[in-house]
Amino acid sequence: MHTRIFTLIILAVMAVGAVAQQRAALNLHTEDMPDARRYLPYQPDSASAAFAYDVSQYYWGKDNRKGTRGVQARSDAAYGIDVVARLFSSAFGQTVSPATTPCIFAMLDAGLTAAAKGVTQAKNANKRRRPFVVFGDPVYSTENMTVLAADYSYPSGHALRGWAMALLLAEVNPDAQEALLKRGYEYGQSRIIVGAHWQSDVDAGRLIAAACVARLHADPDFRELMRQAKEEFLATQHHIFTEQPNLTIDRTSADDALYTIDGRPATSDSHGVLVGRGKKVIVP
Amino acid sequence: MKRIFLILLGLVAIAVGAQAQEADTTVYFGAECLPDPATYLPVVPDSTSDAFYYDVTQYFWGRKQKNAALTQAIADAQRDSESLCALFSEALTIDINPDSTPEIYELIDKSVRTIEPIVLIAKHDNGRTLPAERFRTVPPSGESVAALRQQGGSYPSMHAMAGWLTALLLAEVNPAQQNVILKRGYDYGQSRVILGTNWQSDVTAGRLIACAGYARLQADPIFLQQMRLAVKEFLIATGQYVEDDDTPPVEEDE
Repeated sequence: MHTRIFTLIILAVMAVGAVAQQRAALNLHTEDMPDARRYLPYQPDSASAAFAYDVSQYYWGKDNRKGTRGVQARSDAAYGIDVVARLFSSAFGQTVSPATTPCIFAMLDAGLTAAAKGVTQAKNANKRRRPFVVFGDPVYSTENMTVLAADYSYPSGHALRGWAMALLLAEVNPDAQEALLKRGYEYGQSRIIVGAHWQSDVDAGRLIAAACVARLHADPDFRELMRQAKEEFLATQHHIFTEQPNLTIDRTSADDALYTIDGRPATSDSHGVLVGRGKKVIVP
Repeated sequence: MKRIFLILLGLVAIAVGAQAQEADTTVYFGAECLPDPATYLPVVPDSTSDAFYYDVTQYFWGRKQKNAALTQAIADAQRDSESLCALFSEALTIDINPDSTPEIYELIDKSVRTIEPIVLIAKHDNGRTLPAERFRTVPPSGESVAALRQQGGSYPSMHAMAGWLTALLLAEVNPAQQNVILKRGYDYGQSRVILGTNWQSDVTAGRLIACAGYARLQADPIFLQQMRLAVKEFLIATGQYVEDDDTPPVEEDE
């Protein structure tokens, strides 16, 4: 009896391990990512007008804790890329998850894990305290306050994650970009509503997000994940068909691609898809 | 004879006009492909708000800047692509211009031109008074406030958009220098606050548009192609380019 349970436990651990191995990871460490200490200002001085604005935004946040905006702010406090991807699914137009969109999710998982490292050095250098700690209020979310209080405030990792997710998903599906950008922007503002971050933390987080997205695109492994994500998405759009008539790619190196279709240079349509002689093709 | 000549001239004009209707190759796509900034930008701060108080104190911070910071701000007032590229050359570590680095130049020039229209539309929609107008000062850069006003308003800042977008593009081209490049892009926007041509919130908004524009550009295959050409040009120019043969890469074990 005991050995059977023991065997099952071992098998379960191995299965989890196997699943964990499948999550794509990029070879990008904290020192590879942009360092916000070098290109963004230090946190606002407590005697400055910037901080006065931060304080008034804390009260704006408290005012917005009621109603649907308050509910959204609480659920936006979620950690975990799979949970956040679900929060962005409505804006994206499809459920984004490992089961429904494996390639898009793999790109987000790998990209956002690397991007999250873009706040580490600045957080440790600024050592800013969170608003709910400064005001002595409870945080308006289900987060563990002791754990949260021990994590520094400037810049905001949540704001980075939300804005980066918006930018990456907008790249996959430009038609949904407005809804995605609005969602990403509000995701950052939610941190102010729950009292976990100052406005300046969130503003900084968004700039770091863009800087990290740029660094991701410089990585060939990420570019391949993004290419697969775009291909997966385009296959779900019924106005695109997957035949590739006479598409030639002049590659002078593994990274170069000069697209011609039927011998003429390809152009792109408003959806961001290559068009040649009236036929839409998927970038291989 | 003269009549025939005029008719022919007219036909040529129509033909040229018809050609111009085809795809504009100075941009990757039209402004209709870009997201409306009103969907994600904060509104212009109300003049009784704390946000505006912050804008005002930033204006006075700007007026206090002297020496190197002021000289840089005046230089950063130039927004034509050649000047913009020159201002980023040191950060990138090679001189960027249409002759020696045509691909990198085209990457920046065409990308900025593609995002410009959406900034102009937002400027006209908001019609915000410039700080130089409100405080009746002359920008040290010698820019005409009336000419700036003609663009529609100070919110959002075109310079801030161009500077941050250029920074993101060049950081992708040369990640080894990303911090220096990003700082250059950030400061390029702050120069507008120093000159009194834009409020701090205009500059913040301009950078957000650059982020959104960058994402939309990455969705365009022709842009992706240009980025690869720019990266290759940079690697060749810095002696880092390695010609690889056509054999597929060997699968390495983890």
